[in-house]
Amino acid sequence: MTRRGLAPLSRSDLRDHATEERIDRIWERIDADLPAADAAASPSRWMVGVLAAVVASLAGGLLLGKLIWEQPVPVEVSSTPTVAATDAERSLGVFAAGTRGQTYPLPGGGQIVLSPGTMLELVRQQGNVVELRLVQGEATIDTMGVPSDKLVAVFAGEALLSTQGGGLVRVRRDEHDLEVRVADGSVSVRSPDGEQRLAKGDHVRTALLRTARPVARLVPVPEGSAPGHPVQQPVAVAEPPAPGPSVPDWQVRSRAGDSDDALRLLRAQPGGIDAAILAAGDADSLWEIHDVAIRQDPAAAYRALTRVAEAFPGDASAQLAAYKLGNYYRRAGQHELANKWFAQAAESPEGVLAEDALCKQFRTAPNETEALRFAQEYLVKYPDGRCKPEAERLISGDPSDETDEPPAEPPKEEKPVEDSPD
Amino acid sequence: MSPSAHARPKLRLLSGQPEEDPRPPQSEATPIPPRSPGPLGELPDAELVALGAQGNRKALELLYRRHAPFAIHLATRIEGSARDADDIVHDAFLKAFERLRELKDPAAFRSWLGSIIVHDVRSQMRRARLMRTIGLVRAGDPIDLDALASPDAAPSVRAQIAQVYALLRTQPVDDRIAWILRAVEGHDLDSVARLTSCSLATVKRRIARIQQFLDEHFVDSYAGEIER
Repeated sequence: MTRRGLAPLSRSDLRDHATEERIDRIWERIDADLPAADAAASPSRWMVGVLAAVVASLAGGLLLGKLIWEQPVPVEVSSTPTVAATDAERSLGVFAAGTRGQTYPLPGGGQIVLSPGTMLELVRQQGNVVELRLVQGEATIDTMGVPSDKLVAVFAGEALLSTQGGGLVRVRRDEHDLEVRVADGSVSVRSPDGEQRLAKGDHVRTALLRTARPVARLVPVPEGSAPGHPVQQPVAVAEPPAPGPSVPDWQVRSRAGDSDDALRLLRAQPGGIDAAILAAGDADSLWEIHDVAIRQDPAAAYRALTRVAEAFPGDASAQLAAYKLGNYYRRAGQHELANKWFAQAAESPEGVLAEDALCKQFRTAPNETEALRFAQEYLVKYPDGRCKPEAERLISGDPSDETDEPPAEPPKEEKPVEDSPD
Repeated sequence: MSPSAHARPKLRLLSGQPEEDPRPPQSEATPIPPRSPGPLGELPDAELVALGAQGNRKALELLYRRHAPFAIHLATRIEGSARDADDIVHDAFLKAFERLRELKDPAAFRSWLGSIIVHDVRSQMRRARLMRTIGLVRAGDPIDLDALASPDAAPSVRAQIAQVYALLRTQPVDDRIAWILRAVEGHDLDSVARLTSCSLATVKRRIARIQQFLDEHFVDSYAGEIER
């Protein structure tokens, strides 16, 4: 999972809905509903018509809502035959999750639990068959309690996973591989590595594309296997079903999207949340603690980030951790600490946050001399950067702060330290 | 984490500073030609409004065709779906045409229409949230990505748009409307304040809240692939 700030959305990447056909269609309706010219001056009659239309549309909306409720997914069904989805194929809808996991109802019954950063497209739904495409990340397909005649197919690259109702399957896509864990039920996996059938407790990793990796490798990869000479016929390894005992309960709850319960479990561990922070063996685990704690215990969340920045400086997320810590201390009014963390974030010039961190450095500098120094450094490093006007104003001594931007600081009536609920 | 993520192309944080609007400034008389504009086609909005208020059907049609693309995009992008866009635009124009006589500044028809649309979409979104709360409709429908993203957009951009709208769904309606008007539709803050009938300070606060939320929760798994 890669974290960073959001790049701007360009309107050229957004769909143009204002087609001539649509514009004509709407006008025909408006034209039909417009009162005659002589009636235009009679608001009362006009109002009656609008009210009638509103009542009718509300009633229609309620009826439609009921229909939607009874028919879980209001999507068009493609008439094309079932084929392996390609990346060029359009989807009927998308399930996505940001830093927090998300749970969506699975069309036709069951549910999909998305881990942070996951994107899953709904390609097709017809009868009892649902086809999904895992674009990125990790999803748990939960069809426990759903009749076994329901079929869920998940495409990822050239791999296809299919499972029937009554199963619990976790599927994860990474750069080259598809990883499948069967917690319950059975799964059929077809990939460039071949076809195999997995049962409860099985766990396999297989190639996504023919060119990516020639054959499957198992999880764990047997020691001594030479690179490029993997096992020819994958055999599923009996591992504890996911999530197994090796995954702490709090992480299971966190990945299911229940942060409140995850935090409760985290605090109930021996040594509490701080022990978990100290025991974390990688940056990702610390980010997970951060995500769980940020709403109710922001101080603990930022202790987790502090450890990311200090204990894992080589991790790709260390810069973001430092940047967030800078923001945290800036909001708390502790500008010296804020500056320290912004400086650390700015130290990775190739990182996406370096420019923003340096920009924040001259905003939070402890004195004018330092601010000028950072502003000059900013202009040298980023002569066309987004903070250029501000840096130039600072150097020229122009106090004007007229800007079209929203305020950088949270409004005074808001709590200064804690993050907004997330 | 991919080690290559260190060398990924630099992408700016939005930080409340959306890209420059590539369109010309949104004057109140945007030159979107009607199909058969005729002699009225060159008239500015203010004069069309005056004629429309007197019941001139052609003036109303010209006003509609001039501002329909703006209205359709506004409704679709704020709501995140094209499903109700036709109804919203239809109702908004009817309301606007009904009240043309009440319009104090006839040249400001476009922003007035926009505020009607924003109000209607907002009501619809709040109603939908209420109906979800009381269980009348299901929660968690997939994002209608094809309604939002251009078919020509790169997969990474489509993923970005999907995630942004998924994250926005979790936020208060008023906050996300303000952010979309600013960051997606490219309106300046004064326009956003007018469209949402709020003070500038409120609008700034709402946009900042969403921007911070997105900055903290946006996950870009494509970042490592962009450079390849």
